[in-house]
Parts: sequence; structure tokens; C-alpha cells
Amino acid sequence: MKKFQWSEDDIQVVLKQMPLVHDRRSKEEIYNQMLKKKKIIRKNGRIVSALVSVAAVCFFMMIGASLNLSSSSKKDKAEEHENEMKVLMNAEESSPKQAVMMSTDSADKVASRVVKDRKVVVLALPDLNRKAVIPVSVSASPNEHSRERQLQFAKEQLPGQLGLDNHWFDRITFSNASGDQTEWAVHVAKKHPVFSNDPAVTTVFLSSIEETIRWLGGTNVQFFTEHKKGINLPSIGRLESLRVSHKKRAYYFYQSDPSHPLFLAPSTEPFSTIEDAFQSMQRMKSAIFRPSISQHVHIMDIQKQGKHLIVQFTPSSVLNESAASQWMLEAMLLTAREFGFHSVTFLGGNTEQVGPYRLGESIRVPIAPNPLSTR
Amino acid sequence: MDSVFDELYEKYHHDLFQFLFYMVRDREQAEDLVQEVYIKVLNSYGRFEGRSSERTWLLSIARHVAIDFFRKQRSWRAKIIGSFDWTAKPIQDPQALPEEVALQKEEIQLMYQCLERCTFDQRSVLVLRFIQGLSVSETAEALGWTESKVKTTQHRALKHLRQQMEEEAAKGGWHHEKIPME
Repeated sequence: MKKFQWSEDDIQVVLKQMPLVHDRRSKEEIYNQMLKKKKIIRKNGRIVSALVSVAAVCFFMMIGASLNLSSSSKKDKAEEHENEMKVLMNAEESSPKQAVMMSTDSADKVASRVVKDRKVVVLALPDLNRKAVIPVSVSASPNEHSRERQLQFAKEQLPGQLGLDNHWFDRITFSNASGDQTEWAVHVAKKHPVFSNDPAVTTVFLSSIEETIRWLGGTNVQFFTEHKKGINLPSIGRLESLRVSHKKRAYYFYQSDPSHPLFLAPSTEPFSTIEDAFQSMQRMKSAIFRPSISQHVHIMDIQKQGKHLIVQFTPSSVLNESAASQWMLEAMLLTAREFGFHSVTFLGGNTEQVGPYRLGESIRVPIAPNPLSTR
Repeated sequence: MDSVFDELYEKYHHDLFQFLFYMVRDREQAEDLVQEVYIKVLNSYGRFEGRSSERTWLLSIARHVAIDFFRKQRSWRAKIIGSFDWTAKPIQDPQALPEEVALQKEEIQLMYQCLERCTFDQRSVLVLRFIQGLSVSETAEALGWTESKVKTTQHRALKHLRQQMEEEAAKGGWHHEKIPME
């Protein structure tokens, strides 16, 4: 075509010649797909209205409670706390699927949510609704020496029944692109769900890669679609690389439903101070995460002594042998690790021991979150 | 099958799909959005008052569905871009040409590429007026505009599209460059 100039009439003529593009589906296919979509919209609508109703009930209960608060507040608080613990304990006890969480010490009553002293590989898996990304730790194979092989082994060991997408990495391979483990190449097969048109999937994809590489000690990721450089993500465009900077995160509770295990989940947003992180762990309001620090625990003081952190609870803070108390401390220990601390001493509270942790003694920060009992 | 759906499909499906395809420029996305149009139409069919023609009413719903789609896309993109540490921000690649366009002469392929650079409103007018063949008054009905606004937007859109095509053609490389096919 040699013509470089057109009149407006020419443009109109060419516009009228634009080809007809047909829908390749049959009428029946379209109708059925429409019905499916309609069901999803209705279901989502029902969930939203249920949430609105629950919020409204909570709001009126709070108003009602605030009217006769003063005299019975201490008793109410204790009962409330008991209920809070019951909910978590019920989740813990009722679920046969909890068995997939590994207890690091057979004497522990509650399965720990952190890895203290084993070699593990961390894989960050999306939940089944593709709304959160949860890092889980799989024991490293004693027979595999390269990180790539360890990752592959870990992928194959992931158990089902987690409430997480344990097949997420089936079509993704990781390879170390530098001798010092800082550069990683991520190869994604064309059939991976990230190539669907769902922007939520793009977000969890990037978060899961960022989190997995972060735990590998990587700082940079190069993307490949099969063997071709770059990845074309429908919602944002073509991407060749991603920097994995060290973001300091807080840890919340995540549980898809009571029949699945509860996990410690890193915040999506980074925090600049540990005080802010702890505050968010107590005040978190979200449809996905739950606060990991109980409302009945009050932090009086935080002291930093080099790489050692001292957290002082008020004497009235309610800590006990429950799973919720243990996991709260574990979430705080993991958060301390994010901020570069090597050990933490918890002081105060109304008890001397929470699970395996003794208050008043220095506790080493964990190696990784959410150990799994593998296949 | 719902008889209203059956009737609407027979009369207007091609128009709706064609409009959505040229607006969002992605077959799968157009397929998804056209279903959304039917859901909206079937939910409000009883309230259609007949003030405009059925065809322009359906096209106006399709336009709103496309506006919602672009709004959501923009907010997701901003959210994703803001959440990660990029070595280089993602680049939006030129999309693969749909088969129907790739089989046409270069001038049509060039126009398809340049249509993307028109604003949403400009593209709406060009698609409805020239690709769908609606009159000025029908276009005004579908867009909920006055006829004079349609005419002004049409004039600016044609001028802009012409400029874009001339600039692209003058760069000289476009017709040698192999544009991928769907």
C-alpha cells in the first residue's frame, strides 16, 4: 500500500469495508453460558446481601451493647473472649483436614503454624477463591541438592484438603538464573489459568510468584511463556521481569472455612514499623483475613535491643493454652522476622506459658510459616 | 430456551457482538460481555417502553456494559501496577489481529490498528455509524446524545482516525511489520 493520504470520504469508505466479525458459538451455547453467568451473579448478590445483613445486625448489637456496657463489661469481655477462643478451637478440633498441618514437636498439643528448625521449601499458593496468597512450607528433600529440584519435589508433595489451590504451580517451573540465587526464571505454560481474562487471577499470580521467590532469597524474576521471553497478562499487558524487594509484612489469620486449616497469611501491604504491623494485626477488618492479635491482648511497650525484640503485654491481657493464643504469638514472631529481628521476648499477660512458648524467655524467630505434613 | 432470548438473538445478536467486538477488540471478551448484555436486557425487558427502537435500546445497554468493562480494567490495572515493584512497567502489546481483519487488505488492517487510538466516544460513533450502518438519529438514540453531538464527535473522530492512519503509514514500517494473527 503506497497511499499515505486519505480524505474523510476515503476514511468513511474504508470504515464501511471493515469485516463482519461473527460470534463462533451456537445460540444454545450462548444461552447456556448466559444462564451460568446469571447464577454466579445471583450467588454473589446473595453473599453481598447476607454480608450487609450481618453487618447491620452487628451494628445494632454494638449500639445495644454500648448502652449497658459499664457495669458488666468485665464479665462480658471474659465471655466474649471465651467465645472467640471457642470459634477457633472448634475450627481446630472439628476439622479432619487439620491433620495436614504438621506439629513440629509430638508433645505439642496444637499444631504449630511456624517452622522452627527444619530445612523447608516455601510455596505461596492462592486460595480456591483466588483472593489470598498463603505461603506454605514443605520439608526439603534430603536427596535433592539444587533449589530447582527441591522446588519441584515440594510441588509434588503438596497435599489436597488445604482449601488452597495445590495445583497452582503444576504449569509453572522455576529455574535459578544466577549462581547466587538472586535471579530466577519463571516459565509459565500457555494453559496456566493466569492467561484467562480474569484480573483477579493476574493479581494472585504475581503475588504468588513474588512471595515464592522472596522465600527463596530471590530479588529479581524473569518471565517466560513456555520458552519465549515475557508473559502477556490480559489485564496489564506484556511483562518481562519483576523486582522482588523486601517488603516488611504483618501476619493475619486466614481460613477459607471451618473445615479447612487456619493459616498465617502475610499482609498484601508492607509496613514501615513493627508497631504499625502489630496494630494492623489487631485491627484488621477484611472479608479475607482475620486479626491474629486478640482484642483481649494489649501491647503496653515494644523495645528493640539490636536484633532482639521485647514485647510487653499489659497484666490484664488474656493469654492461655488455646490454639488462638499460640498462633497469635507465632504470627507476631513471624512479623518480627520480617523486620529483621532474630529473637523475641514476650513479657506480661496473665500466664507464663502459651503452648511451647515460655513468657519471659527469649524465643528465636521462626524460619518459615505454615508447615505442612506432606504426602 | 427463553422465547424472549430466542427472539432477541435472532434479530440482534450479530449487531451486539459486532459492536462489542469493535469496542473491546478481543473476541473472548466480546463473547463474555454479550452474555452480560442479555442478562441485563432479560432482567429489564418488561420495562422497555418503546420510546426508542429495540435495536438502539440494546446497543445502548451494550455500550454501558463496555464502559463498565473499561472502568474495571483501568482500576485493576492501576491496582496491580501499584502493588508490585517493577523493573519495567508492563507494556500493552499490540493485540493480535483477528482472523477476519488479518485476511483483509493492508489499508483495513491499518485502520483496525488505528481505531484503538480513538477515544471511547469517538470509536462508539464510528462503529455505530459506519460499521453498523446506523443513521445519525439512531446513533444519537443508542448513545443517549443529541444529533448535533453525534455529528461533532463523528467529524472529530474521522479527522483523528485519518491523522493516525497517515502518521502510521508515513512511518513506513507498518506494512512491512508482520502483525500476528489470532
